Amino acid sequence: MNILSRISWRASMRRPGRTVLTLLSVIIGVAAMVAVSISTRTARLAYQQMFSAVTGTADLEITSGGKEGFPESVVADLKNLRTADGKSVVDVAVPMIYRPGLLSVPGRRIKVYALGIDAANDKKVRDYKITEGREMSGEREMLMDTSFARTSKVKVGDSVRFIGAKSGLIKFEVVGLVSPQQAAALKYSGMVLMPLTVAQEIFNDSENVDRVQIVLNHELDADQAIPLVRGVVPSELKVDAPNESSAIMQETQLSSEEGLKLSGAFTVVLAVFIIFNTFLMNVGERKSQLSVMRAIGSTRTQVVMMILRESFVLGLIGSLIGMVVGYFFGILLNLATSALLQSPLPKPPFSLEPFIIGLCVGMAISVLSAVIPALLASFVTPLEGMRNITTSRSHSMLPWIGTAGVLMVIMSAVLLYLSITGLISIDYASPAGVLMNFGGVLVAPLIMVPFARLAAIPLGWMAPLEAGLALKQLLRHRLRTSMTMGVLLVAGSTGVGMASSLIDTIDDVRQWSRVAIVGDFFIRAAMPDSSTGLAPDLPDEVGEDLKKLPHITHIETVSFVQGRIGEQDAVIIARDYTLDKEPPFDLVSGDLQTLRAELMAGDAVIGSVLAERMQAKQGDLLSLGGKDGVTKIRVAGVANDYLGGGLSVHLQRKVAERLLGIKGVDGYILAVDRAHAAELEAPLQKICDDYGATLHSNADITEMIEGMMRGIDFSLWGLVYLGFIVASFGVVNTLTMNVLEQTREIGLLRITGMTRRQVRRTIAMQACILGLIGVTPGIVMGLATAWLMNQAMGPSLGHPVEFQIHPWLMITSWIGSMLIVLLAALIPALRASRIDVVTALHYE
Amino acid sequence: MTTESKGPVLETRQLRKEHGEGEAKVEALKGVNLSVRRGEMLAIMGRSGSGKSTLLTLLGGVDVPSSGQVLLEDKDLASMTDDERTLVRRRRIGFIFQSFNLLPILTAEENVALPLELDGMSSKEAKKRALEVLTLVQLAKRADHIPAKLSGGEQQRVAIARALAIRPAILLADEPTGNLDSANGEHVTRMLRDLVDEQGQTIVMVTHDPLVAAAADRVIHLSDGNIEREEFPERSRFHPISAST
Repeated sequence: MNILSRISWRASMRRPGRTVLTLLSVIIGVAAMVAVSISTRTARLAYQQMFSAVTGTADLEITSGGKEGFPESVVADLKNLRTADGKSVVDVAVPMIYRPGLLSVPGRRIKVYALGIDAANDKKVRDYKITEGREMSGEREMLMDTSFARTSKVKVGDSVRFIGAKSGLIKFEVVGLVSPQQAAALKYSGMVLMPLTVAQEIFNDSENVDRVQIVLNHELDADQAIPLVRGVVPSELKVDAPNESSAIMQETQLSSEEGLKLSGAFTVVLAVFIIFNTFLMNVGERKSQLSVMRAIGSTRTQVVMMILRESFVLGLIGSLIGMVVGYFFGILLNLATSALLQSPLPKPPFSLEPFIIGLCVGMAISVLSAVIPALLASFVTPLEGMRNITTSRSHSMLPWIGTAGVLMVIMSAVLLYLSITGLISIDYASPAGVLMNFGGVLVAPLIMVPFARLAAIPLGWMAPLEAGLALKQLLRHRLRTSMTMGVLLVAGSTGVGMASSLIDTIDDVRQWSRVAIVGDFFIRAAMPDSSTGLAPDLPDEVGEDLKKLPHITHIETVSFVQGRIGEQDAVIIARDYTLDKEPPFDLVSGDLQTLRAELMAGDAVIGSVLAERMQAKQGDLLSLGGKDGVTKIRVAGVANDYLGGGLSVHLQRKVAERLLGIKGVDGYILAVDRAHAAELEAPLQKICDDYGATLHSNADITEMIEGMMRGIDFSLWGLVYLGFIVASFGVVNTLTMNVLEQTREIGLLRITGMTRRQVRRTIAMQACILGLIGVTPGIVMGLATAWLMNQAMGPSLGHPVEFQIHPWLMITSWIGSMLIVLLAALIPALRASRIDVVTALHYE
Repeated sequence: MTTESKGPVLETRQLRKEHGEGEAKVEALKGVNLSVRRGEMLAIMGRSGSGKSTLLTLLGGVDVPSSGQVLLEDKDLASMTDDERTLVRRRRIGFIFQSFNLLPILTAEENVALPLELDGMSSKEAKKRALEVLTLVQLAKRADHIPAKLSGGEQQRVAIARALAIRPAILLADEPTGNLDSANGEHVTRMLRDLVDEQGQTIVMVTHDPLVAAAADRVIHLSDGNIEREEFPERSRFHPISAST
């Protein structure tokens, strides 16, 4: 270890508290990035690979574009297909059934997709090996993915029950566990494999299949083959390269990824400024050392490199710890996502990518944050050490920093405006938000002094001497104080802004659920998938049995199918709308009074996201891909909708049956005589038990939504306070440094009669001023942030979320944050009050 | 070794230094011409604000003059870049400060080795040299102590060792005994005198203490930025002749 490294090492060991705080900042920043990366990667891979499991290694696939299948005879037609010069087009064509269902394992039910495969040919398009057990040979036999079986606690030889459609609960034996041959470990997660004929029987579709995977003659490519294949299959079928149909899932996935990424970026921004401030103080404290080093021959470059090396080492250590912490946070985040989706997510595959991202972020935030302090250190002159004079170069930087901050805020505001108004992609909104955070911290030097003076006034009424001294100390180190203020300001603004916006969104969901979810009881096989809206069918007998029960005043059926509007994937929701009431829509445009009649006449209500995406409004005609080709449907209204991520088309059932050939029922909505509602629960539950369905009362649904909201509420407060806790590291740093620098002054004050209590109060006053000037404007700025975020949701939700002020959120955030800030002052205050007077007088 | 006349190792020509701007402008040095011979011990005295510390910083290339020249071994420090001056300080000038200015986190040996290692010498070589000079200042046994564990006198001797480690052309001392009690002050003064007498070391020191100044070969008195007068102390108890008598 050379001399400069030894100096760095011992300087770090001399101030372990500061070193730990710097490390913590890096750790939290890196952990946030790694966790977000692991979580989003897992979810994305789960979706992607679920689809690649379905599509296999095929070159093309034929799908119906909806839930209902198409005749299996297509396969035979494909086998005979020839090019103009007589070459065979299709090498292999493998049919399959691909539908959602429920797997009943001991203790719980899990949403799965059933893959009905043609065992003889399937290996030509899908590549898996049996890791345990054997291939399927009998009818009621099933294969499961090895890792999915492990998470579901299912072993080879176990009996499981599956509910797919009208057949009710069917018993299967798990005869084998499969693993993909490729590195992709998630391929068959959440999926069970069963013989094609059995799947056709379960889903009551013996002549049909859902997809046909095609491996082309190797002399042809997909572009050449698609027109030929389209020529021999019915025109309503889609012929695409695989994975096209996963677009809708990926889109809904993206919005939650954006939120997570923004939170991660927000933590990183805070970490950057805390590390910057820490190194600034580090350099400030070591000024006399640096000056001596310069006097005896250390060059500026050597000084710069010494500080950067310190930041590099701290960045490396912090990143390594942060990667481990982030990995576990990522797993926790996956568990939370899994709970929210009511479906087990597969174990995250090990990948270096999140760790490489974490390492890069950790090293970058650490080293980049230290660049300016390192340059300042190199400007320390030998004179400063020789004659005990101090030159504050950082003061001259303040106007530049402030101006840069203003420019960043203006730039980010322009970017946000352009992305919100749709002039540029909404993808720019998140980077603009991060830029605004950066700018927010940098603006602090411009406003710090008047804010601090203002904050000191009320404190002066309580303790004039202490408040005055506290103010003077803070103003003496403007850059340090400004950066701490900025960090608190951004924590307040972003934390409260995100929380406020989230509450507004929750209110939006509540408003939608109040209007859209009407009915006293709901019966369904499984919750529709939140992104595709697909759900397993219920047996026809359920409807028959329901009709026999007394006190049910109205039975309405609902079905979900996947469809296409123009080139856009959408979820088609078919309902009866026979109840003589206004249809349950949270309308953005349209007339609720005439809507029922319009739906009956064949019009559609579309989700606001779809309307935004298609640039469609009330009265427009949209092209709906159906069983007899494309049909024009009129838009009767646009509704705020959270089903299918708002990419939804609501049709009257008969219209949907006519256009799309919908047959099954996914759920029943029951209106009952309220006086007998309680006594109806038992017979309804019996029907559900008989057919493997799930019963929900309106109260259950409300409670379920409220439960999800409470979960979000919990994470929301976590989000608000995480920011403040990270920011409080900055407060601890600043106050500790102030105490250290004030040692001699504190000694003098103690000699002239200041009590230990007064010393503690002076430090607490500094914390109060920092809190007041950082937290208070931060929380007020949070309102603007929330408004911007609500507006930014316009393009993804189809309508901006209504902005509301939440006084309780602001008050509790303010009180909580001030308490955190005061808590951060505890150690520095105690340290200050324990300073030995005699030692302090000799402190330099 | 005696202080017989040799060519100047250090020379200033019309050295001026101004501090501040506008009405606050102060002329600390007003055209000082000074020559320091190799192997000479020169003391600079004067009241506070007379410009003696400013002169020392200019002689050491720590600061640059407003005008004039500082020639160290015929090279003008005033016309050098910061990096060039840094290298001159590192290789040719040893500093001794009133408040010792040892790095508190390094041991005595590491403090002494610091300028050598900064210059690229291997840690092993640097420590070997450090131990030599610590032996010279009679502190070899305290080599692995950090400054906080040393007395003021010992700290100043470590600082002297650090200054000597590089075999400097000139040693600049700013109130070297200012923070020491009389016994330690005398010990340090004698050590500096011995360096001149036995090793031919050139020393320029700023001092308030007439007893310390008396150890020098020559004393210049500064007043208001000018050399007011020059003295040649004789038969001081620090001089070999006086000591032997």
